[in-house]
Formats: sequence, C-alpha cells, structure tokens
Amino acid sequence: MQGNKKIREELEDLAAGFQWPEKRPDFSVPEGYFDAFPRQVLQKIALLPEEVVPGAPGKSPYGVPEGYFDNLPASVLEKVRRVTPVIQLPRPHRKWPQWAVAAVIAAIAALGGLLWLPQNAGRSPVDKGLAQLSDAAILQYLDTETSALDEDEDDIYNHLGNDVAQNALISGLSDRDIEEYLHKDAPASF
Amino acid sequence: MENDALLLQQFHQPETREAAFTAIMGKYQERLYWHIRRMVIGHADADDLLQNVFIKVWNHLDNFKENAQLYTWLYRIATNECLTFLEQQKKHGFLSLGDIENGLAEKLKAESHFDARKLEWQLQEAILQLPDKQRIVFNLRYYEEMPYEQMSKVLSTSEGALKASYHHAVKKIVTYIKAMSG
Repeated sequence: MQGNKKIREELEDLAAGFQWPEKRPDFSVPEGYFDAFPRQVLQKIALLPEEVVPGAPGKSPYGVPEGYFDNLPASVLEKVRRVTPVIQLPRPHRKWPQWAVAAVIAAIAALGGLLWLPQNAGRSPVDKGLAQLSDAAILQYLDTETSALDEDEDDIYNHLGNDVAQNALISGLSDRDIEEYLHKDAPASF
Repeated sequence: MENDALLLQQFHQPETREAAFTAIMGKYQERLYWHIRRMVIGHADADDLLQNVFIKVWNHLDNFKENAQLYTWLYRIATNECLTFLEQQKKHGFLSLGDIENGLAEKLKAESHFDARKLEWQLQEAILQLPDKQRIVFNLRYYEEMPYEQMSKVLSTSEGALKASYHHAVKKIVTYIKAMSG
C-alpha cells in the first residue's frame, strides 16, 4: 500500500493500529511477458474466423459474392414487401372472472334492495301523511268524527235485525201453512 | 501515453486500427493483468483471461460509447471474465467452493517468492478467504486505489454497497491475519 492518503486514512479508521504491508507480493511473471503480449493477442485475433472477430487483421477465409452488401438492403426491402401481413387472431380471453365479479355485484345490489324495500314498500301517500301526524291529533279526530261511522253500523245492524226477525217468524210455521199463505195471498202477477 | 479518445479515433480507421489497438493493449495490459492475476492467482489462467479480454475489446470497441471511460470499460470486461472463470470452475469442475479457495491458496503457496512469514503474502492468503465479489472490491480499492465512484461503474453497484463491502472485507482480513499471527 504505497499511495493514496485517503485510502490509508480509511484503513486506519476501519482497523486502527493495524500494520498494512508496505509492498505488494512479488508474483512471478515470465520475463518479457508484457512486451510479447500485444503481438500474441494480434496473432490470435488473426487466426480466429471472420464471423467471430470482424475486421481481424489478415485475410478472411470466407468469401462473399461480389456486390452482395450493395444489393442487400434492396433485397431485404423487397422481401419485406412480399411478406403477407400477419393477421393477429384475438386471444381467447377467460371471461369467467369478469362474470364472477358481475354476479357478486348483482347479488350485493339485490340483497341491499331486499333489506331496503320492506321498510318502504306499500307506503301510500295517506300512510306517509298519517305517519307525520301526532298521536294527539289522531285521537282528537277519532273523538269528534266517529258519528257517521256509528250510523252506518246501525244501518247494518238494522238490516241484519230484520232478516233475523223474518227468519224467527218463518221458523215458527209449518211447510203446509206457508204453502197455503202463498196460494191465498200471492199477487196474480207473481 | 496516448490519449484514449485519439486511440479510439485511430481504431475506427482501418489503416490505423491495428496500431491503435496495440497502443491500447500497451497502455492497459499490466493493470488489467494484475487485476486478473490477483483474482485467479496462476499466471497461465491470468494470461488466458487477459487475452480473452483483449479479443473481446477488439470485437466490441466499435460499439463502445465514447462518453464512457475506456479504462472503466476495460476493467468491467476483465472483472466479468474473472467472475465467469471462477464460476465455471465451480460448475464444470468437481471443485466445491472450499476446494476452489484451497486451489487458489495452493497456487499462491506455489509462487516462487511465497513466504508465509511476510505480511504481504499473509494479506494475500487473507484475501483468498473472502467471497469473490468482496475480493474484487478489496483489490480494486486497496491495490488499484480506485475511487468508489469509478468502481461503481465497473461493478454496476452503488457506492454505498461497495463501501460496506470494502469495510466488511477489511474487518475479515484483519481478524484473519491476527488469528494467523497468534
């Protein structure tokens, strides 16, 4: 470690007091290796085939027809134009997840409707109006406005009472008495 | 020392291509060699990998974006070559991770100047105990004195992660060397 002060300081921070070696290990390298190295590499490149090492020094072992590269763009373009356009078939989509999501949404909507409807179904405007009236107001109305209703009830009972009286009279007569009554008192037009 | 931009310009011209490439190799070969050598230890492996690196450089230098730094790009290729090589040894060989470490340690001990009593060799042994990527981070920082910013570009890792990795590496190395020294 000869050089950089910054790096030495960094090492001192990381391992205070540790003695780093002053010199590099003396690895053995064959004599003249670095002098010969560039020539060796160039020789190797020259021996490799052209497609492996484009533009390698020395002659290429492969031949190319004359004018090949000049005509290449035109022949490629011609081929491209001749190629039938590719029609892309629609990819089969799996629709079941979409349907499942739709079904879940529909079920939630239906359930919400069922829970909401009973509270609101069949509520006529009269019912809604009554709901807004106070109990006291309804009681007052009933106390003052029941006579008409009572009269109607009397009529019903009166009719009912007549029928009952007639039935009671008829039930006391024999069939023969009734037939005699009908023959004797019946009007001619009947 | 020729300017990288000029060398790249010359490389793009067929008549100066080979000369420019030779100059690039001359400029960077030693730094890349030592970067690779510290990772694979043996000279023969380092030589093979360095040759592969420069063959790749020859193949792809036309596509190199000139706004990037050539030096960073070269280190990136060399680092990938090392990691691929070590990975292949684990996969295709019969060696486990431990065997690889032992294999590298054996290669280290086979070095003609190896001396286990010397701190620089003890440091090498300690470095071999680290995981591959941590080893790269430590070597780039300690030996190459590479700024984290540049290292971040070489390794495509955030500076924070690299600092953390380096700190872990230093702690492990110190612990290892102290344990070895008794």
